[in-house]
Amino acid sequence: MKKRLVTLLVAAVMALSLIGCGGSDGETKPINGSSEDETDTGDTESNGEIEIDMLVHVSRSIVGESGFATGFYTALDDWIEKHPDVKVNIEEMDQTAYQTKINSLGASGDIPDVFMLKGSWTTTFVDNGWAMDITEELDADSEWKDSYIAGGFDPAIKDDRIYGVPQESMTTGVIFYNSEMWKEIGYDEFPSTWDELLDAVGKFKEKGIATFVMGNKPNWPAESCWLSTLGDRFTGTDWTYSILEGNGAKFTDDSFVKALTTFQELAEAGAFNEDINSIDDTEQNSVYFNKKAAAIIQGTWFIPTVDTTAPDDVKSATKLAILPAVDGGSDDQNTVSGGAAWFLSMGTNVKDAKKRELVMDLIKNLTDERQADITASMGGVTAWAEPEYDAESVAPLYNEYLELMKDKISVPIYDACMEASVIETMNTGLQSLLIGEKTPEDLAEEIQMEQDMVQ
Amino acid sequence: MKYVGLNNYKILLKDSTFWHAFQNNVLITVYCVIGQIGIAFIFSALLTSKWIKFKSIHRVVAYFPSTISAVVVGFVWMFIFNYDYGLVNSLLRALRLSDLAKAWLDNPDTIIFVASIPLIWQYIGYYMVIIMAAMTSIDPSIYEVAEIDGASGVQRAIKITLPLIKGPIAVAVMLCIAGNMKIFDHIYVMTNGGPGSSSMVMALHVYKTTFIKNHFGYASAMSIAILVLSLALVGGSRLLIMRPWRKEEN
Amino acid sequence: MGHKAGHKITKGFFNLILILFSFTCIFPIIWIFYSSFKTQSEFMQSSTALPEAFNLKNYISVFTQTNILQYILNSLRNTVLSVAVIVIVSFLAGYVLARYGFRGRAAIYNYFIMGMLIPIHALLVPMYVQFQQNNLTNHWYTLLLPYVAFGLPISIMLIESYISTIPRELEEAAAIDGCGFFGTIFRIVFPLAGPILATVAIIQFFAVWNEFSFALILVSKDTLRTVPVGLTMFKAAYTVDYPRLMAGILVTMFPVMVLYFVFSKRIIEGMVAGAVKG
Repeated sequence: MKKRLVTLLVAAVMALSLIGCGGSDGETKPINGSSEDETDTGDTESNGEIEIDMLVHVSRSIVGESGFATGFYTALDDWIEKHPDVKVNIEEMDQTAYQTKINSLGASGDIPDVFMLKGSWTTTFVDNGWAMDITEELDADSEWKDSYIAGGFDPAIKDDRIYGVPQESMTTGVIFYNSEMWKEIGYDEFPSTWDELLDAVGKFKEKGIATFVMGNKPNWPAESCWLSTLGDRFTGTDWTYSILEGNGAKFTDDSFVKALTTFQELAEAGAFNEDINSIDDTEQNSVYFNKKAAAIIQGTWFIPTVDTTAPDDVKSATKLAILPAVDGGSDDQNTVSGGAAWFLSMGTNVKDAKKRELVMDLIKNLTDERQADITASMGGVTAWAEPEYDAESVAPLYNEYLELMKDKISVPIYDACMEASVIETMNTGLQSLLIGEKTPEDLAEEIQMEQDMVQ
Repeated sequence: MKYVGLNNYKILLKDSTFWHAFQNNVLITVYCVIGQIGIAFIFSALLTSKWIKFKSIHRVVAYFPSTISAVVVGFVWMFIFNYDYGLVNSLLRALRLSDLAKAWLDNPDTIIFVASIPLIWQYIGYYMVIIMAAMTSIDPSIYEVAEIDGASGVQRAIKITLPLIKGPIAVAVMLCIAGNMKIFDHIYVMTNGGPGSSSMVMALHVYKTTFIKNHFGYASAMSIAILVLSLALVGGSRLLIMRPWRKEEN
Repeated sequence: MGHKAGHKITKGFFNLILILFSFTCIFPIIWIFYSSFKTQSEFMQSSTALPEAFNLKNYISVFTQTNILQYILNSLRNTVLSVAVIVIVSFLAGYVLARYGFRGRAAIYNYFIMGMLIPIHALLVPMYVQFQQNNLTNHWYTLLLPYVAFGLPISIMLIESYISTIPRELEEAAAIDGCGFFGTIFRIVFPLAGPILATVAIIQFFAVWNEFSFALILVSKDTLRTVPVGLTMFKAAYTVDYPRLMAGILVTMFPVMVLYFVFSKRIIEGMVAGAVKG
């Protein structure tokens, strides 16, 4: 009697713990799309109401502070109000959590109806059958499609089919510099040649100030904000397209290695803060605000941050520039990395035609002038080409930025278009490169190896 | 997804990042077994002795860090180690030792040790609770006898207490190994595996492979490898401390 | 005499060490507390300085812009229920493993150990698929399943090792007096194992309270969100408003801190009592 009880008890406990462990051995889950036999639980509820599941990394808690979040939620609330028969289940979280959740949902065949797609995910998401081809809808509404910045759709295109509509757009390689500090070392304007830049680095070093602060712990700033521009200055944009299309360019090409070498030499010259790999992209701002660094390369998202959180003297001294021309580079030196990086996409679980129409309408509402105008009026940049806003009321820095960009050429942001695994290898390697733990040649080879594996 | 046979495991054998991460896990585990359980044992012995004042306050407060999520702990220590205004460097500068002030989380050679400090700190209280609970099962009359024999506090702790709570200590060591072999949040928040991949740990490698590089199959192969490696370490540690299956049968 | 003085110095030294350690244990919370009253730009200028004014803006934002109270309630419900189930089940399992030798005992023990060793990120996708197919996602009880399952191995091991150290005479006496199996273990062993059960409860309480990954993946309704996932909503894409995040951390820690300080006193009393009784 006792023995049987014991056995039963043990069995019960093991069964319970099985719930946790059962999945560990059979990991090869069907990655492609949804299971067909599954009834679309989310599509229609018993009362005939249509439900749309959304997953985004835009936080409602910063509505009123961030232009993009404000534009996004205003447009969303508006759409929901106009569609009382549709239930929108929106789930929001930060970007890290979002990355985990969207990939888990995708791999489980339960991709949400509307989600945000990063340009570098396009290949994987399309190959796995998670992102819906929306080319036809966009072609049918060319007025909508043509209102975005040139090349705005590019990172979300695979084999000439479009899988997402561009949202926020950004220039990632803008130099924000404290003009007062540069004046003190004799530069009334930001250096226009690389030699001048190195000279300035030396002068700042003597004063114990970092020329640039970089918070590269999250490991994307060195690549997204620096190398995307610096690389292009040496390789030219054709090289990048050749990499993307697999047309022969290699990361081990001399021009790219030269870009890495120049980057490393700049770091060796002491241009950066000591703790380059241990502070993050928020902490780096405070180093600049506290005048312990004379400049910072950031994206356009930094404009409102300067406006709202910088001390007054730093705010008024802050001016904008792009990296100076490099020696022995490609023809075009008037370039800066920029473009759309995040896209709004439809999940492949949307099968019902009526629902598809609704989802497309929602995506349109969330990406066209309805959100772009609001975002722009708060100093945010979207992929919508010509938003209408009151130039007087936005941060002066925003207008200065538009002025700066008038004669500049945007070149691709690496992590907006290259394969995610290649980018991760590049990002990790750049951390080592910048502290002299890795040679440019070795890093180039590593990146190329990852690239070969992908193709 | 296609069937690739043992291919993923072949890649794994050659994946230098994974083996470097494994080495880091082992290092962290060693630091933590010594630091967490060692210090916890000393503190527990002290707190059961007559020497210490404010015992109950210490007991309540020591566990406190373990109640905070790893993310918050990592986040707090990130500021403590900060180069410009972090607590450590501010203290050193105040003591006129600015030469010693370093970018603590930026040196690939020492990063694992530095990153282990918050871990050790956080879980001392955790193991104190386990060890002190075990100590309650010891019959106090044993100590009385020892006191008459003139045993010192240190002798008492090592010769009497330690052997008597060998079982719970073995469990604590096992928990410590298991916990540190899949350590993730602290490292993710404090260093993100960097600089480069110098502070990479296995779970973070799995995470990045799964959710950043999108290689689900390979990540699963790694997880199985982690399971096997951890089992080997746990088994080894148990064999070292006690021979667990020689319990009296009834 | 000199011996006595040396004794005093060592005593003082150990006291000092413990006081310093205890101080570091509460320091983070003090820092988070006063920082939560700062504005973002104050924090940017100095992350250690005291706030310039007693600014409640962050707290207002925490309460008005998210359903923080709902998250706290959800977390509390998950935690209390999971811990109750874990303590009871692991007590029974631990008792059986400690007291009975039977075929396959070692295998079962090792099976439980394996449960502790798998990295959680490898489990997310397969777990989600299982939950989805069995229609187990997005219920109030969804998270109880993994929390109990993953809480059991550690708990069983701790309880097993503790019960092994308790002499079995009492149980035998009870059995002779005619106490049944459950009568014996709940009336005799359960109180004796008090200290370790309290330890298990504390450890699991905070493990469950702080769990992030399952809560992120298995639940998507805002009404079921737990605190750790709710806190991610305070992080924006490119800048984190640290003071507001800290206010969020504090608000969500408050109920557990109260619980902890209330119960820890009783737990410590229990431990001391156990020691005295022997």
